[in-house]
Amino acid sequence: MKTCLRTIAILALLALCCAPSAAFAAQGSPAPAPETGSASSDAGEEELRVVLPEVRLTLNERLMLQHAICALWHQSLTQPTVNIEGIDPFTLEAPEHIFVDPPSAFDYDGEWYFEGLIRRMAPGADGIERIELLNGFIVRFSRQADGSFRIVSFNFEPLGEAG
Amino acid sequence: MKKMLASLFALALFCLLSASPACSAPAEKAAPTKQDVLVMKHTMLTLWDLGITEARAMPPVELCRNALSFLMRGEFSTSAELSSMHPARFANLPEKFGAFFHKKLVEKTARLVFNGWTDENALPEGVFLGAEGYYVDMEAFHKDIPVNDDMWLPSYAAVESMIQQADGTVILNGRLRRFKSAESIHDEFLWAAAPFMARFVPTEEGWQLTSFVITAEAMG
Repeated sequence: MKTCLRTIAILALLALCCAPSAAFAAQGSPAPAPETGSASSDAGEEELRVVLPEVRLTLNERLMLQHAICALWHQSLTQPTVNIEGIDPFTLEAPEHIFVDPPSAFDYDGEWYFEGLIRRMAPGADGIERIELLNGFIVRFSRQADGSFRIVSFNFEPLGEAG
Repeated sequence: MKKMLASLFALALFCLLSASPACSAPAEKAAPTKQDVLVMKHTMLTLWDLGITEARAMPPVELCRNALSFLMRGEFSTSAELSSMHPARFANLPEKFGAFFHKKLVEKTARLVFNGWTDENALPEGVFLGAEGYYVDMEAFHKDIPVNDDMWLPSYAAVESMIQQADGTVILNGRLRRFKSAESIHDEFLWAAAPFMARFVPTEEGWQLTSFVITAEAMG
């Protein structure tokens, strides 16, 4: 009986040791986990931030902020008074035919300035897509302590409309 | 003693049973986030800019050149270190090496965009591999790469359909567009369009482009 109990005890201890590692192995298995899309990109972002020696944006952040500029312009065209108080630019939506060239982006005193040209394209009478509206812009973002961004100010200057 | 052992045994069984569903149940596949889709579109536009229109296996030298070209065209401001900004990084190297890219980043680009593994012994012209990354002599690097002026034209990518399969793979269909002006910036018109199909597979590193085709579309 004692031997049997001892065996059970050993088995139990072994099982205790194996269980967490089995669960861990399942999480780390090559099959894509639910978080693969976003969580892994976050991990990549973190890795990149460690690799790069200075304060700079990652590609993901840059693309999201460019997207936010498009959304902001889109909004400001349809609603002349845009309230940017507390807006998280990453949540904004923008149509694809509004786009910015890779703008110049620089940080100054903890804020990111984006400057460049923004376009809205639309098919003309002949069906060929043309420039419909062109603006110059400067948009300021501040990075929050948690790494998110907030819009500080923006200015879109009309450069003229296509005749 | 017996009770204690029985409790221990029960606890162990509970742990095992709790762990096993995680091992056997199929993982739910996450849909790409808005950020992921922006990166996918950016990837397709950059490949088009580089004139790379379909996925294929490539020799290590070409893979390394394409991964570096991809970073230079698509991610220069977010990934490159310049000798003028980081002189210490370039100490003891000839002046001709003006840009530096981290090894991890180049390797990741090779895997995620070109579905291949870089070989440290196979370097393209104008590239020196240091302990931490790749140093590039821009002039020598670009010497044999055909110039495509169109790559600097304003462009955007539109997604027309995005389907996620049961295994998590995402099939993206869309169209890339470039615009050119005849006389002034105000009269830009559609200069080139290219439908594309791309297959992205979720991996631990991010979405991996495993196959794609960009088709040139006749204009006018």
